[in-house]
Amino acid sequence: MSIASDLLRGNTDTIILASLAEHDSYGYLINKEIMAKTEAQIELKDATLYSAFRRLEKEGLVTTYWGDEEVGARRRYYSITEKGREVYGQNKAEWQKAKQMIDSLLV
Amino acid sequence: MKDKIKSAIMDLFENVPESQEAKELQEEMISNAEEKYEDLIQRGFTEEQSYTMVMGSIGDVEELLADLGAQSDDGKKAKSEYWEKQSEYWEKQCEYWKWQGENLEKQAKNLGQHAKNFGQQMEQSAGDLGQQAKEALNAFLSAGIIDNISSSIKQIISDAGINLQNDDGKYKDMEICNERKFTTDGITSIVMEVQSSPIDVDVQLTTDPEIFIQELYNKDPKEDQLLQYAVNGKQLKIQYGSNMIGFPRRGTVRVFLPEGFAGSLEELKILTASGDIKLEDIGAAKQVYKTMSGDVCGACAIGDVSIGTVSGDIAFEAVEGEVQVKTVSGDVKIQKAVGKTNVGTASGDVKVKDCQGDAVIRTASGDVECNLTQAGEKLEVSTASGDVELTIPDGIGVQMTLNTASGDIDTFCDCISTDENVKYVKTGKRAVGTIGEEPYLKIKVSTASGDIEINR
Repeated sequence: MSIASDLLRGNTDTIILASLAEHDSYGYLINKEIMAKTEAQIELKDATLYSAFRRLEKEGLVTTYWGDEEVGARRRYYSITEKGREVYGQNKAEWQKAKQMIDSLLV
Repeated sequence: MKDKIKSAIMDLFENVPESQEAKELQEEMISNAEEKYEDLIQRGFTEEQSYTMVMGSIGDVEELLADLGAQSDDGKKAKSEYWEKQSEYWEKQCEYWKWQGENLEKQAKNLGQHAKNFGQQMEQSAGDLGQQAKEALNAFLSAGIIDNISSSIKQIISDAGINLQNDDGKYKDMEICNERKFTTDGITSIVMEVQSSPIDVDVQLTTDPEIFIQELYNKDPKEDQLLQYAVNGKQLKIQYGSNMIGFPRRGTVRVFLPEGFAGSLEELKILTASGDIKLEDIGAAKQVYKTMSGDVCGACAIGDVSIGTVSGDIAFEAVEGEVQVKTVSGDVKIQKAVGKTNVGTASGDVKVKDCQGDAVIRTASGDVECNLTQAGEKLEVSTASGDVELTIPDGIGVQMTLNTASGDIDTFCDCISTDENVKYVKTGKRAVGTIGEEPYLKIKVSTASGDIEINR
């Protein structure tokens, strides 16, 4: 898993953007969806997740707002910006390219 | 538990300067953590497990908090506090298991003691009953009542084997009261069911060609108190007589089996109550011996043997087949066991000197000593408070799994762990490992408080 965890670490921001590109979301839900998609093989640590949120917000790729939950604690939602979608598209294309290159080297 | 999560997360922020940003991050972390916790509970984890999993998924927050202005030292502190919490949890887990182990040990000890007491009580009350009857009769006699009783009642009293004046010595002298002979033709099974009598059974070999049976009693039984014999097809069945009132207090049945015949029997089954069962070399394919407080003592048994006693001890010189033993408080001693060995006792000790097959031994408070002389497939021992001492042959491949709650583990691997053929790890109350090459003898031992010792 060490190759996978290295790749994961380098792509945390993109993975979060991918999740937000589908719909607005909050920390635990994003993680839950990641776990569902990877059959529980990948779960981001909270520390990783919140650091990424702060970074993405500073770069203007996401915006945040508080939910108005009537029961229980408030959730902090994140929403992807136009700039965020652009960056996500670029990153995804770069990943595809990198993936093809590495695939061709590891045949 | 949710409060605990909340305060644990708030603790992480202890050294972070107050700011709107920090407050918001804290609130966000708490709400996500709480939701995760609820999910885990829904999925069936315990509160304690869920808490640990929530805390475990927080990860290293040093960088994140430093970003919020926490001093890096403080960050380290937050991190170390986090690990402290993790280890606190494991400490609690250990305490819990230790406590469980102690409980188990206490229970096992109690159970063993109960079983022992029960066996003793049974014997005691049988003795008491006879004693009381005797005393009552003596009282009648000294009061002169008995003299007025008809002679037939006197006969009953004397039939009851009760010696009104003195009872020493006389019972030791038993006389032959009945003798029977049977031809071995077609007989493949001998079943003796005398399980409500105090009859000892003594099976011996003879050079005579016929089955010869002698009944010895401490006093003359009546005709209908002698054993009943019946040959049904291939089976010789022996049962007690129809009249048990006033049955002799002690008896011995000597069964002489022709040498060749004893080795070709399909079945030999003996059930008695408080009598001992003594056997010479018997070769029946299936052998069953049961007694309550009597002992079972055998020479070399060729065939599969099943033995059951309550408080009686069991000793065999050799069993050349599978041996299965169940007893409550009896000790089990087998010099040589060639086939599979399966022993269960509550408080009895188990000793197998020369074990050549697979063995499964379970006791509550009894000690277990087993000396394996050939590489089998498995050797499984479990006890609660009993100690376990196993010896295995030199040079065979072994796969060990040893567990104890509060006992000590001591194996020959402790001093040869540098050998490259030895992959052995001992961590506190658990030791696992493989030694040598396949095929492995699989040794599994678990105890609650008993010590485990493996030698070779």
